[in-house]
Amino acid sequence: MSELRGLQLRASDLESAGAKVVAISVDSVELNRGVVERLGLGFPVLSDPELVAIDAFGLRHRGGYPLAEPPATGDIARPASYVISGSTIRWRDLTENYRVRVDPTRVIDAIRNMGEADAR
Amino acid sequence: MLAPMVWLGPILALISVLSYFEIFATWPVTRDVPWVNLTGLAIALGLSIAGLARSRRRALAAIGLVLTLFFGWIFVWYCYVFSSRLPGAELALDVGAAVPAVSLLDERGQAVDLEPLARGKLVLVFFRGHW
Repeated sequence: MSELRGLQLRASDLESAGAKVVAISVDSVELNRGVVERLGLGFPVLSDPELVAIDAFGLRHRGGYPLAEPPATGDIARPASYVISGSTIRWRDLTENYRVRVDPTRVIDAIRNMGEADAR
Repeated sequence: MLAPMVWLGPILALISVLSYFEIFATWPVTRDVPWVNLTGLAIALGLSIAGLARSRRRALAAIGLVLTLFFGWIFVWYCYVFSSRLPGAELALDVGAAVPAVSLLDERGQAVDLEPLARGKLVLVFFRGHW
């Protein structure tokens, strides 16, 4: 979740790079509303309790949250950041340790590099 | 006399562990490398060792040192073993792949289609959850 705070702190840079931000987790709409309000997020947080998008991206972490209470299975998303353009994945960061999340500066660099590649 | 470091050590160790989850894990500069908490644990270990060396009540001081080591071990195990247990990255969509068409509810309960958003520049972040 702290990666959302990090991205929000760089909201103006992301906007000037022309990128929108969308976040996804297994959490409910209600929990996500709380997160958006608490962190003051200017981008949407989507709820994927059935892991539809998470599976479509191949990011299911089985039993990743052992403290989950039924009916939740404890399956969650592996932390991952993607930069997308033209309906195609252009850059990704999959951390090898979930405590270590993506650095917003690297995301912004990826967007800018992508823009230069497109301009050529 | 029971030197204060005998009990200060394990208390500082416990605070060092708990404060990571409550405070320091919420900010990238103290989360990725948990230097604040590791420093606290190092000081706690020093206090516990000094306590064992100085206290006349060796048995209590030894228990203090064991507790400090236990808290420290849990923290290091969590940070460098447990949190590395992730599914293989080879399963995940890679650069060049098309973005799947998915529709999910946002925090206001409104449906959001990924497809139109993905035509423009989009940063898509999957995260573990609110906790």
